[in-house]
Amino acid sequence: MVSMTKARHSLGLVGLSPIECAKIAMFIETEAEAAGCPWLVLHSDSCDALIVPSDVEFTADPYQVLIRLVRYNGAPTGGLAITAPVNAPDLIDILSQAQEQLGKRQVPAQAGPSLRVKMEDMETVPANDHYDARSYFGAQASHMTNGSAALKADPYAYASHEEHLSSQPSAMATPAPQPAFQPFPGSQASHSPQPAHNPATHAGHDAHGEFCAAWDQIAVALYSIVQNSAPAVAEIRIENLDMIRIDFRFRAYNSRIPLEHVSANGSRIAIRSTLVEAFRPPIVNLPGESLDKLFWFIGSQAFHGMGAPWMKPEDRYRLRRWPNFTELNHAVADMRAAAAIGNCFLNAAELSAAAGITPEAATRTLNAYSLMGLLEIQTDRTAAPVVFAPPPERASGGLFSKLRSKLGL
Amino acid sequence: MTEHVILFAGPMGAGKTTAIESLSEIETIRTEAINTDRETADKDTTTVALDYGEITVGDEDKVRLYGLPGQRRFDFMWTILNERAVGLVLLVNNDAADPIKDLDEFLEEFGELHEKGGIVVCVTRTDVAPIPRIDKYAERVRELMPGRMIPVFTADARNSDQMRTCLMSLIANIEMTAMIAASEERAA
Repeated sequence: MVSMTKARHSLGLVGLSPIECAKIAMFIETEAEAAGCPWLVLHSDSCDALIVPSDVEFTADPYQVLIRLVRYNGAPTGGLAITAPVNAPDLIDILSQAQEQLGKRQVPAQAGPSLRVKMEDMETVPANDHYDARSYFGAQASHMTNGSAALKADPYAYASHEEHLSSQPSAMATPAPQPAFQPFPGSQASHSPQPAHNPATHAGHDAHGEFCAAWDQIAVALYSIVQNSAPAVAEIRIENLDMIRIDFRFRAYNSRIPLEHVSANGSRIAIRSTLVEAFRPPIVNLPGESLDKLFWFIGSQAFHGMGAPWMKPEDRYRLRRWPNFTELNHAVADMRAAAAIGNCFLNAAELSAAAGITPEAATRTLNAYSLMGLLEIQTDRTAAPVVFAPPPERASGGLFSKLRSKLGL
Repeated sequence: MTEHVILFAGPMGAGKTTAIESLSEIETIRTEAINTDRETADKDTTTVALDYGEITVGDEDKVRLYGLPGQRRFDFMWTILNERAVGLVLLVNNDAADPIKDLDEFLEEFGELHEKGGIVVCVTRTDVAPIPRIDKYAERVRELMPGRMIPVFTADARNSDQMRTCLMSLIANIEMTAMIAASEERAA
């Protein structure tokens, strides 16, 4: 893991797919530091160096080093470039070159990696995340003010999106009863409420493509920030409003509306993040809401019921501690899942069998727990799996099941 | 009828009586006396013997909820009920002088209950005192009882939904632990 004290430069990932982002973050975490090439990965266009797809129009500032990601036999570009699919040696090599270039430049002395987002702007954020729905990040560069850091959740940024939309029911297509709160009057989102069921509960949860797709990159960005362990703040903007503010130093967030009412149009969601000195005042009203609540919500929405890109299907996981269910929007089945994975290492299939939930719900649960930082990993492939055999009393329904019925849960 | 005894333990003022009232479907039986220890907990009365509530589940099961007195001088009651119990709801008020130490003391006293059933830790009054956070409690539980997974939640003892979550999580954990143990026995 790259720490604040070791990182010399920040690396921004702009317009990349979640998988590309996750791979690069993983390579840097596992390889770069050992190679004497420490970087702090952020989803921002204001870092020392940027990796941007070669087919995206983008102009870096003079202080920045631009690295182009050339996808699928694309035309080579001048300057620094790396070819997809990214591999660790090439990435380390290109970062070493970037580091060398940065070293030769005259930059103001800074304690840590630079990220030029003005914190004072957080109160009056300019309308700089307003993009056309069909354009890639960077194509509307004129809409961005200098120093903004944004990651656009573009449904066209990765190829599998259309498939998800067609294969999964969409909340946009099947309106549920309107929530009392109307966050965006007159906008498309205001007529597209979230489903009536609790979107952040896992068991029996329907995926709905557009909503999920919008959160994929947000989840990766948040995971990246958390993994970097640097003091940071972030702002998730939906429909150009600063809907959710996060202060990672206090593991707290504020949201303008309850998460259950957050409506995400896939083309108008963005995250801005910045490093912040530890002594700076919080950007949320403390104590605020627990970050676990937000991560639980986003982790359950993202990745369409598939494993998060940073998770390996062959690994097994166990809880470090139970999630604080009294503050989470949970289903009763989530308790059984927590009990199962709290007591032994399980993969998604084993969790599904143990807790009596669908494989998709089990995967969503693991994604959420992982984002919340609650999991420890067993990479030993030879470890014997736990085979769950229900005890005799369960045949007639255990106390849990009976109480569940009794209490109407 | 199968009886399931769940104990509610914790220091004075943690909310044991209130938690039982939130869960019980009968009017709770309370044994209270004037509180002469206002320094520890600023409330008029305190439990001196036990509190009792219950939830009847069909014709087969009854969940008996016993609240133990928080003060050490009544700890003979702890021993009596500890033998019958299958689960413990340990409430710790976060605004106590040293809530982590309270956790230590009660886990030392009732820790063995995890072996024959399960324990859940409920941290109350976090609205008054947000620190320490629950990950500190979870960390301490891991130190004191390594290898055991005990749920730790924040909870408002007055909130029935939250107390149900605590109770259901406790029971889920007890049943799952038993299921895993049975599976391992069969595998051996």
